[in-house]
Amino acid sequence: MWTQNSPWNQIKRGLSWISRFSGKGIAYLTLLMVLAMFGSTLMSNLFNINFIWLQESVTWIHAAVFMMGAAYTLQHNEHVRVDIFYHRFSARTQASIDIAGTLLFLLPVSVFILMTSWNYVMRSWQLTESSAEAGGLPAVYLLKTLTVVMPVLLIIEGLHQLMINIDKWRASPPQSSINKTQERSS
Amino acid sequence: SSEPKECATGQASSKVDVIEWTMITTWPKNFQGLGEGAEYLAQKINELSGGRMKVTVMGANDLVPALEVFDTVAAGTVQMGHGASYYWKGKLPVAPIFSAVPFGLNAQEMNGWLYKGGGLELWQELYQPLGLLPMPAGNTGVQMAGWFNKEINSLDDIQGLKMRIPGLGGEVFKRAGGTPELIPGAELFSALNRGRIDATEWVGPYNDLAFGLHKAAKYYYYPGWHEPGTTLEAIINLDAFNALPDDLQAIVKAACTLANSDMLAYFTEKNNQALESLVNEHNVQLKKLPEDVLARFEALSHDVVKELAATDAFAERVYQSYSNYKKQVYDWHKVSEQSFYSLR
Amino acid sequence: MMEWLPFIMFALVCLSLMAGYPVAFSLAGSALIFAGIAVAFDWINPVLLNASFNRTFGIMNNQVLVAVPLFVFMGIMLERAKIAENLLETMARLFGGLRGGLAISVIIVGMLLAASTGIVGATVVTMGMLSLPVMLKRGYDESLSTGTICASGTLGQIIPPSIVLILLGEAISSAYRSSYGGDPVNVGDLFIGALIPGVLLVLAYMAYVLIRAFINPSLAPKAEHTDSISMAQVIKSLLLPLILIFIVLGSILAGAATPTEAAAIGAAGAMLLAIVQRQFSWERLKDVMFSTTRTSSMVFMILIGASIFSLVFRALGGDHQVQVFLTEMPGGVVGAVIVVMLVMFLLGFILDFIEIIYVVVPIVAPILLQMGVDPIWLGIMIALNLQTSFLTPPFGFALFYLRGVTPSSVPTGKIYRGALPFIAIQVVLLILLGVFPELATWLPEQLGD
Ligand code: NA
Ligand code: NA
Repeated sequence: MWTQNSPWNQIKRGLSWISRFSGKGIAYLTLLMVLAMFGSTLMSNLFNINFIWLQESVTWIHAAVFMMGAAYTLQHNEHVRVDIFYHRFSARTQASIDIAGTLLFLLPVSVFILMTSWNYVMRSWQLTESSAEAGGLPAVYLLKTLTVVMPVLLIIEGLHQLMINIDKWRASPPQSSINKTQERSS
Repeated sequence: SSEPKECATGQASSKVDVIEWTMITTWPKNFQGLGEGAEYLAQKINELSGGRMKVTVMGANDLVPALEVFDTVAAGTVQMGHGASYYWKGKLPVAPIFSAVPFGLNAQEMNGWLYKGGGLELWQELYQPLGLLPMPAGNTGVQMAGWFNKEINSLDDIQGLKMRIPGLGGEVFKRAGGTPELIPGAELFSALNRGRIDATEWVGPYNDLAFGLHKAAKYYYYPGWHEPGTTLEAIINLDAFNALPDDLQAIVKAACTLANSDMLAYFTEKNNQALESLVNEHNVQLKKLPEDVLARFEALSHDVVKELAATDAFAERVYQSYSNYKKQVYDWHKVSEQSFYSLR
Repeated sequence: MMEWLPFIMFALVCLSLMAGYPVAFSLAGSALIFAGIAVAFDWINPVLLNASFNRTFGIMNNQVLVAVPLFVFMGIMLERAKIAENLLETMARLFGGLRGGLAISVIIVGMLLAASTGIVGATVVTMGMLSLPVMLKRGYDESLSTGTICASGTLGQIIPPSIVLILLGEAISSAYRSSYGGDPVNVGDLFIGALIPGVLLVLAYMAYVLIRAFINPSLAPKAEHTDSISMAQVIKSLLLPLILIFIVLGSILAGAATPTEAAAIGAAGAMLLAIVQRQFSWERLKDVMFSTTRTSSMVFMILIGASIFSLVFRALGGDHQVQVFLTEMPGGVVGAVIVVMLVMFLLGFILDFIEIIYVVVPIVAPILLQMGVDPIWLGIMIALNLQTSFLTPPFGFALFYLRGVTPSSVPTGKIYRGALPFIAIQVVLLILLGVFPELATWLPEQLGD
């Protein structure tokens, strides 16, 4: 229906790239998280040395990973669904559900999180908030900023999913025959 | 703002709008002393206002996690909170001075500084830009140094000692060679019990007995050099406060003052009973930290507290006010309280 | 009317989940729509919803939950490096000569795998793909095979360490802290408390399989010719993973490490194991990191979505209504516990572990704890109960996931029938645990004092 380089497809590719890049980019930190926590555990038990900033940075990486990875997870369709009925629906019905879910649930929730977080994040930047622990990390405002980044990434991926599902919806016939669905699911 | 209509006759009691407030706390709802103090404060506001105000208390994690109390009240999500200012060090580095600093003022002296020595004005000036009004609303008195599974005979025993001790006390402890550990509250008991850490500070006998820390550690050390008289705070959203009529504003403030003195009396009573029970029934070994350790902690504490002053000009003013007051009151208390205590 | 609002919302939210849009966003989204209506009718004060940020930030800053991605990393590394697969293969060869030996291997591997993943779908699917073809090829009865795999695949939740127990431990200890001041229960306690019931469950599963195989050998034939297996092979694929799991669990039990630290040891150990077994490569590591990120995001988005849901539920006065309902329950504590368990069992049909823990536990646990229920016992009861729910036809998740990887020649009825004996075992253990709470509380007490 559209050529490979139609604006529609270019926008889709662009949105998709953002989710993939941010998600995979942050994923590399999981290795750092394992090594940092392992190192901290060893040092604390073997040498009685402990760095609060190191322990805190493990928590921060963990938070960054799941906040920045949420959109990327959505792209991979790995957010759990109750698929008692969903998996039996036709492709067209599934696309309709995903379109409705994106418009009614995902986008409003993202906007809600964005709106409720904004003032807190601004305040934290103004105060250049740091950890309250002695020897903790500075820049708690960066951690808090994730509550703005996460919904923005979700909105971007949400739009991407919307476009994908519109394509899917248009590509599947209205009276999707039972044979067809079975073919697809087997 | 429109005041609810007073009923002159008292009977035909049409609708007097009850002002409903929520108080969130940094403690669990029924937490000994501290949570009970928040409950007392709410109850006093309700009573003194003759039912025109109704304050409902929500414990930590009911609405928001403990350390989100400050931001939640500042945002106006709820009208007031109960906590301690040292939790907000990350936002306002000088804030701990208004609750407790190592080798700082005790309860009586904190009250002197805050109410009469200009401390409260500074505190309110600090919180005002964030839309909050702080009031002293409780005091634990001198706390305990904590629970140890290793005996402390000299400064050498502090080296590498793994202790859960947050805040400024933790910084002092670290500089003295100790290893402060970050252990979540829920993990604390097993961490101490199973040897993941060597020691922890908590509050005083009343709370420590209830927590069961005597089941996890052998030695109970004193004095609580790092918290010599922790002032707890009520924080009130300024918009909510300003919307109150004058008499209710005065009532809220008066209730805080009542709560402030009531908690100290309550802790004094409960702590001496609990200490007796710990020593006589639970055979806890009560020990004083050695002189060289305390001397080192004291010297380091002066540096650590002084560094708070370096953050900005306002922090410098707070520090100056606090340390001037401290110098004066120490001179006086040396000849009064301290010389009298030494006679007993 | 007003007092029914929170329950109406609960029902509507459950309905909206059935459509199949991702749970995290359905939970939060439908709750927000309901909140919007409630605000429009002046039923709730909208400013309370601002607390959503503070709750989300609390989840981000929760040190206990850092254990989750670390255990996920460990589990995915063990799976991708074919360590789980080798384990099953080795066990199957070791026990191949025994009647029912293959099923016993599946149970043991299920128990060990349990150690790492703990997300219902993942374990059942992995186990199903690994072992079902082998069992069917060996001539195992279809019902016995699928039943064993389903049940073993859900063992992951109850045998520590498990992500489920971490989340449950955190939810219960936070409920405990809000009810009482001191001596909180924690994740480690729950791990220890789960040991005896978990082992009993495993033994009962094994006994069942052996008895069936003994009575009717054709159901679980032994291998015709058992190929010999070298000692080196056994050490490599059996002993090393066992040692890793022993270190992870042992360090928690001995108190040398918090669950988060033990999880880091497990994750680093799994990498080391992959290297030793020459299964480690940059590509594989990347795969593990990407997968860990997606699983972790999935879990924590549900926590955030559930937290928005329960904020609206609370704003509508739901927690108060539940309290009234449970405290007025005839039969007192016992009645309240039975009702809660029944509700959770039913919710287990439509919701995953994580959702139930973060939607239901924060509402009911404080009330039950205040009624005097032991927190460790409550945690293990919930874990066992949900595990049973996931096994129960027609909606059990485990059956559902296994159906997805089972050849269509095996009818669904056979899968259901296979699960029934295991459900019976679960129910017996639940009753035992209800009557003898010491099964869960004794060991933590021994290690506690
Ligand atoms: Na303390
Ligand atoms: Na497990």
